[in-house]
Amino acid sequence: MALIEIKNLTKTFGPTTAVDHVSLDIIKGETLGLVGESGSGKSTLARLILKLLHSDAGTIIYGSELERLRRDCQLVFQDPQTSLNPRIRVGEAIAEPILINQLKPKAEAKARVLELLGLVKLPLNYVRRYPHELSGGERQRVGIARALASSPKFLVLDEPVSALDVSIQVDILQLLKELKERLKLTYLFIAHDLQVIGYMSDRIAVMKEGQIVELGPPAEILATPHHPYTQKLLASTLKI
Amino acid sequence: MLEINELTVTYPEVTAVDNVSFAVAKGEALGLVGESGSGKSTIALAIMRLIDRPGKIENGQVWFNGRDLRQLPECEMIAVRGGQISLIFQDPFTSLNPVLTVGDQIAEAVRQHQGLSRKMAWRKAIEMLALVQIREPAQRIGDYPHQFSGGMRQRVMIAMALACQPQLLIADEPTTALDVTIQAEIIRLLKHLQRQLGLSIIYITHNFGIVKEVCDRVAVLHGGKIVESGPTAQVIGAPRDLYTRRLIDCLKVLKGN
Repeated sequence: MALIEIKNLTKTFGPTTAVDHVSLDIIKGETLGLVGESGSGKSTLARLILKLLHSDAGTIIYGSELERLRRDCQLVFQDPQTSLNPRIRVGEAIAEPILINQLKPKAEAKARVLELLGLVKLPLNYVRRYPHELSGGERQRVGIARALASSPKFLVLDEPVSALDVSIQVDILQLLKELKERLKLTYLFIAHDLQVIGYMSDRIAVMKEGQIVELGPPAEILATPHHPYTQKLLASTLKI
Repeated sequence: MLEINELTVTYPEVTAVDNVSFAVAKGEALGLVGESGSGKSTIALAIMRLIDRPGKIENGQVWFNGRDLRQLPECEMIAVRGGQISLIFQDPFTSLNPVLTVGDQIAEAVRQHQGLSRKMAWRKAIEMLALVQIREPAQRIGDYPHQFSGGMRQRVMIAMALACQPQLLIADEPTTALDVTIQAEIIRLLKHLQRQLGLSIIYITHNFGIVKEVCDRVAVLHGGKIVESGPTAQVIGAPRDLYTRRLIDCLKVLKGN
């Protein structure tokens, strides 16, 4: 069942067509991996889905679970270093979306913040800490806790591990998998690394110059890619 | 050719490089692998004697062709930097001068080190662009960095680094800022140049995939110390150190086995 149905979506910036007649379904409960190089239109597509940008043409139909778009759909950014305000403590940063959306009265917000810290496996005394006192991986956990604060159904993860060291990457990816099961989430997972995408995704969409050039399960895309661009991406991956 | 002996580099409150020893033979590619903060880039800077205060080389020798670079007078060290040992950095966007043509920047290096005339240096610059497989080098030589893509800019950086025929190239995360398909092209180019020119290369990277592709030997850094070193196949196939094993296990998780 499609949670989000995208039809013929197009977005241009001046002479550039960033997203070019994309049609794509995001199925409830899946992790849809979106892979492509810089400038291929991945992040633009994600921002269109979240209505952070307006499309020029095409439609997006949202399932009834996503009625309150701003609460039900959330975004986790690449760089946990710049996406947190350095002068706001971790606890306040996580409380902010709860209070803005009036999800809980102020008195109860604190308990919810502690619950969220527990979900992303950070020590509870981190509420008092500032972002600079955290490692990159811990900051990304705060970014995830913040995105989960409004109990969303759908998360866009835009290169959530590409700024992190490899050993930390695996920890965060495992956490994301666990959270998806536990909270029954649907993910749109954006990355340029085919191995990371393969590890996370139920289906992979390969994007090039604004278009989806190939779509299928990881076993298929990674073993017998059809499109020449996917083949090139795969051949370029330096594995151990 | 290069032998580093008990090198220790300290900053106030932190020992960035802790009693590190390794050697690189002529024509060999060595990988220095580690995560952020492991001290790998500091080693590169220490070899080039580019550690800025308050950092300090506390101890150790850097033997290069029988001379300890730490003992050389600065005027001789200038000839070594860029002349015999070259360094390329991660980010080709910020390491080229945006207001000079790529020809000017490559020619500057050869005029400085080899005392070539303006005309000869320009000719040499065209030759270098051809060497790094930039098409129509004679036309591209007058272009500015912004007229090149990221991968092409990294090729220009490599051309600059190799213009004075150094014996050793230190490549500090040379492809980290690039897309994967471009990364593979640059790595292939470096491998090709290493053979063609008999270069020694030190690859500084966090990526074991690159190490496997191009390095004869690898040294794994953790907290400023070398925790394991050996032939690449041996270290990746049967890591002895716990930290190395953890890094490689992480990669295997992603690979799906």
